[in-house]
Amino acid sequence: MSEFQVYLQLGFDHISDLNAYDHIVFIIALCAAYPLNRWRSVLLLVTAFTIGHSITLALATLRLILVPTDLVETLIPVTILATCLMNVWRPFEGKIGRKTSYGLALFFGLIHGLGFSNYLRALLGMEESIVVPLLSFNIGLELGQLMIVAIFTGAAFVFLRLLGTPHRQWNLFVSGAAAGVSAMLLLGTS
Amino acid sequence: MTTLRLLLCLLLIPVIEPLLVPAPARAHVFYVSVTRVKWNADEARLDVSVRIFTDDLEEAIIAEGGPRLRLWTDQAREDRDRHVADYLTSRVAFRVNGVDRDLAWAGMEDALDATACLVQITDVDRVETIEVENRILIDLFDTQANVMRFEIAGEKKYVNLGKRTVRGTVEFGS
Repeated sequence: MSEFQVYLQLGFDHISDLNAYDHIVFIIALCAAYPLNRWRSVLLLVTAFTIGHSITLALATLRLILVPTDLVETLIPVTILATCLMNVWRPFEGKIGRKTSYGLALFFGLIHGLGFSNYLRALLGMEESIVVPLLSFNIGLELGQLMIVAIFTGAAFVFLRLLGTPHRQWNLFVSGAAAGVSAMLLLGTS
Repeated sequence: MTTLRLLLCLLLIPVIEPLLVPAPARAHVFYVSVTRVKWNADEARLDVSVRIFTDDLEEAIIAEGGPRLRLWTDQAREDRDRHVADYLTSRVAFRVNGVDRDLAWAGMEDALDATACLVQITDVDRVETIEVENRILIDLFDTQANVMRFEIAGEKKYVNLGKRTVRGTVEFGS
């Protein structure tokens, strides 16, 4: 097995691990506000999130920034809750609103990247090049993320197209569930 | 109007933050250890470093009936090295060139959230095959991955072990 494969697998397993569901719930909350015909927006949002977490994953793993694990672990559910509240409240409308959503997804991505990096950094020694582990771990995360989006879109298809659920209801259902999960994470009861 | 709403949203984060239970007592959920095995030809020795998340390591030692070590705190136990060494040598085994080898404890270091445990295998003047067995944390966590990285005379090899596969073999110089 190559170094690339090992860390690719770790990245993929980490984001798709049901025990580490905070990232999964965030991605679902991010997708929930968009009906199926706005898949381009979902793609852009997920890309913005990816850019965000790639930046901090790289900066933190290269030890250019240091944020305490406890703070990051608290902020991650805050990003989920904020996303859910905005799905329901919809403070941003129109073209500017869309740009704001992408900006926020990028900003929230920065926080999730810190979460990924705290683990990776603890395990990588100082002595060797960490470029390959960092890159392959990140690609693994992306593949896992795409899988989550695909599965969620499948579920959305069943409800929205096959069962004819209005999108607003679907959004409220998913966002409400995700907000509940994030509240439990915040209260430390999970 | 949109700017105002954006500001309101961003204000939400520092408002919520102090209301929270300080640092939710949520264990991390990334179950991985990384072991590096490097051959020091000059000293005829294999240097092994095993990085394990410190909270997992402490939990594992308690699960085996040991004490809470409080590693890397002011209250760390005096006999911490012995407990970590015992755990490690009971979970990791090496066979070098077909011969079972003992691990000599060489200390440990704080590595942020992880602990780097250092062990050595002496009198290794050549490396053809290494068979390893790694059972670190697999009885505590179903998804535990134990990555092993070997570097012998510039040749690098990896094996990814876990609950399903606890043994691996690497060959060098072939």
